[in-house]
Amino acid sequence: MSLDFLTAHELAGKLRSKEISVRQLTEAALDRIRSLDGAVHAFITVDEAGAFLAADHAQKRLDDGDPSPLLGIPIAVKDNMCTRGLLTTCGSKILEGYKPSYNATAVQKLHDAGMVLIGKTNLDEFAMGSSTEYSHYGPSHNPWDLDRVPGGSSGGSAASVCAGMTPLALGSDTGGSIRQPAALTGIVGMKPTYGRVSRYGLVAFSSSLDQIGPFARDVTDCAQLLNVICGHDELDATSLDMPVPDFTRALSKDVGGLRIGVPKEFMGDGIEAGVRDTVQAALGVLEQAGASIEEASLPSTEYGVATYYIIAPCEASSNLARYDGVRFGYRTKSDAGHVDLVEQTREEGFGEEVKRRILIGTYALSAGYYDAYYLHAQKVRTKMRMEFEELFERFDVIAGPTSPTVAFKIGEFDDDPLSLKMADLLTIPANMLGTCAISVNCGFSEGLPVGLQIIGKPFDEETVLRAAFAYEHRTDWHTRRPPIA
Amino acid sequence: MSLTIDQVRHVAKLARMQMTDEEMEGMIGHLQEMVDVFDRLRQVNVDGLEPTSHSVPVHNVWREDRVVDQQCGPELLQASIQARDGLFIVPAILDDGE
Repeated sequence: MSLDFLTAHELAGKLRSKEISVRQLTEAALDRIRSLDGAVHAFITVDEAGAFLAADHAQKRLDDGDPSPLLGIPIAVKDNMCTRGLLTTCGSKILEGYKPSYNATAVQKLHDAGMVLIGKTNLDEFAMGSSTEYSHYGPSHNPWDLDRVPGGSSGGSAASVCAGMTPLALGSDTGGSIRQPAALTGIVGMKPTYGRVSRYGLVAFSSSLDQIGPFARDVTDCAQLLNVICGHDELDATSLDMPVPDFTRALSKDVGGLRIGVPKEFMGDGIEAGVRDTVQAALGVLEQAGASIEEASLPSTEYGVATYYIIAPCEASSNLARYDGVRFGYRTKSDAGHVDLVEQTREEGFGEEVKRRILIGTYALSAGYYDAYYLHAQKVRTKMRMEFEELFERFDVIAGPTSPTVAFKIGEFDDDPLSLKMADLLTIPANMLGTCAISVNCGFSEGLPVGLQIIGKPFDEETVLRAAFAYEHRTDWHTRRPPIA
Repeated sequence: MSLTIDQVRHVAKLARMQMTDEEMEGMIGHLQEMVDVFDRLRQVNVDGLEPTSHSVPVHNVWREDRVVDQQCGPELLQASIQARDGLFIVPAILDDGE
């Protein structure tokens, strides 16, 4: 029997009944990667030896009766999270060969839960992109159509779960980098509220927006993985010290009385008709289940992309100042003094999109422009936040498409990086507010998956999961598999 | 706001990237497009609004200042391409007085 597309909770049942061993499950995941990753390129590094070690350790815990729900389950981790002794490249040449001396807190929590880390997944360099084409290690491919992108920046993690390589993966979401690839590959992806998951050991891109979150094949698995990774961490001062509920308890099929607002800006110009119709039908399912659907307005949606592309590059230009060729990763061969070492290492080590963002961020922060750009963008962010808060007085969740389009062709935006940035139009608002949001598969357009996005109030992951679970229970889109061997 | 190649050169210097003129010229069009988008954002009225630097309310977080031996010194140095005797090696920044 193939294990490739089973959910983590189904696999956990098989492990506990001893139908399979953790080693068999690990071997199955590695086999799948061996046979498909040449075409998909979900992984930058596969850690076979580490995976078998973890598998044996997990098997012992299982045999000893340890009840941890995800014990022995394989998982892939985006390559911008530090893994002790295991390459962490961030998709960049500048971190070529870098082996961290510590685990990111989220990664440590996976180990503590007895999960089996299979490898590190591909991403746009430093998570800057929406297609996973901007990786120094080459693009990832969408398992639904190998000529298309899996979305990004966590495209490798999404492709791994979609292609049946690992049942779960971790990604990071700064402007949509979990939800958009989840939508484009037809799986579940969730950005928790900012502060829920420690960012310690997540290579910093835009510190006020970055958040780690799960990819899964269904909402139950998503909730279980959230249970593992959430929680206060004193190593991240922005991680919030508040109780973490058992998210699986929120998984109710009942959405009677749930008030869903649908911003008209999420269904208007710039959204493909096929995506709009598919999402409209999905909202109909929730309405039939007893939720109320009402049109709303989030006028600042149109400013989100511009606001994001000021704030994120500004923060990135500061965060990426640490890559100097001295302490980690790549170093230039040029040796005309210390300044030359730094400048040449950065020139040779960063890819074009990262350079563009460092330049634009440095420009927007430089003397004379700070007030006009960065400070102004932060005030627009306040305006967006206030609009959201007003909506959340009337609605329990906000819903709409995750991505304006289905997966596009690799190379389609090579000469037009600005248009590619519009892919984040509908995901950026949740990052600006810092709140939680999920994407679940809600059907197909042109044979490609469409994501339904459900945005909740800050720290109300439970309502978001409930709505997503209720939807999933009434449809079978989450059981569709890509036409890949 | 119109970007000039001199501005790009200045910003590249601030960002410590030794870019060639050719590379900067190839990039200036895309950078200008982004600046144009930024300029449109300036039309949004934000009178009386405070800036949001953080999405959730965080205040100073205090903790005890204590020494923790993470025992990762050698591993930290291994992350560098050039290290020896517990030190990172960099080009000399002081001459030898000759």
